[in-house]
Amino acid sequence: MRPITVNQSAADLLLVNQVLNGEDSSFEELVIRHKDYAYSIAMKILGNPMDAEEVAHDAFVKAYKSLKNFNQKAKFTTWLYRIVFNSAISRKRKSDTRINDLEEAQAIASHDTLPDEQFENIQREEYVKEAIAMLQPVDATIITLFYLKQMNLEEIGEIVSLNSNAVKVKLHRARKRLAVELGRVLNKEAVFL
Amino acid sequence: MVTDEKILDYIDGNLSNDERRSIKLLLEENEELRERYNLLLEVHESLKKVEVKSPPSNFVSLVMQSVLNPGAEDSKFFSKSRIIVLSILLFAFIGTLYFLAINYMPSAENLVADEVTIRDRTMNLSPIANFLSSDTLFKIVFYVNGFVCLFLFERAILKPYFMRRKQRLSI
Repeated sequence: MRPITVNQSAADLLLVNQVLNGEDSSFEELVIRHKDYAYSIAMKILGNPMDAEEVAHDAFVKAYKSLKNFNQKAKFTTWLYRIVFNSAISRKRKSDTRINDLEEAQAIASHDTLPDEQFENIQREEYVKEAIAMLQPVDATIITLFYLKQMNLEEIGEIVSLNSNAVKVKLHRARKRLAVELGRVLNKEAVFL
Repeated sequence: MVTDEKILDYIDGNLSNDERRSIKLLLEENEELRERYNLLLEVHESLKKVEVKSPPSNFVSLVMQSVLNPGAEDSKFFSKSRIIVLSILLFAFIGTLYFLAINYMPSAENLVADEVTIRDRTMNLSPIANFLSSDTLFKIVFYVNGFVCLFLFERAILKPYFMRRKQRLSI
């Protein structure tokens, strides 16, 4: 995992100012720095690589166009990820094809028998990955930002437009839900052993 | 009773030292609590292992192309919904063309008879009425329709295809 440091934020602001001063090539550096997380957020919400790519692409273009409106007291990443999040959510509303049912993930992950402990662990991790993909878009985004980006609750709240307490509640609920589903899988496995 | 929220706070390291100590003690004593803790810890550890996904390798080039050359944004003109609308229009016009050809195109056998009928029928009509009832109007409608079909075909299928191909080749 790669935690955000103050230096990274300062470097982002420096690049933002360079872009605002006409150095368009600095924006490329910003894209390189943040493309993976922007894409991951979009991917977690949309669950489709093509849509996620398009949303992440559009979010960067939108960010470039409205860079002069960016309040430099805030973090660039928070601002950028909010654009990605909002774009992905509106895309999701337009074409909501995802089935919000954790049992599907359970079916996907538990269809194979598990030959040894190592493979069992991999299966469980795969299961958790599948299960996250089935979470509500906001919950999936919160999980992604909390674990992948190691953002604090306040920052996550700014991105998903919730206060930090609400983010904490959602984070806890999402993990409890995953734990309940994981527990069911493990119980089923125990029956078959 | 230790709630799941408390356990998650324990895992996240959000508890005070006293609270941590008491939870740790309870975990050693209470098997049911330990089971819940292990399950939540397993989810926590699995989530930490979920890796960041990367977009395709040409992602940065595509973004920079859109940013530095706003003309490339023209490709957005050919969005999925626009292509669908244009395709529906294309099929509607092809249908009209087919309908005109089947119902109004003079056949070879009836051509002479039709000409005689038309001449007889239009002898006493004004030039405008005469024009409207003539083959010329049919031909104009037919060819305009055909032209619109070609235009829509170019907009809905050819142009989006070649623009995307050009974009891919330019990277």
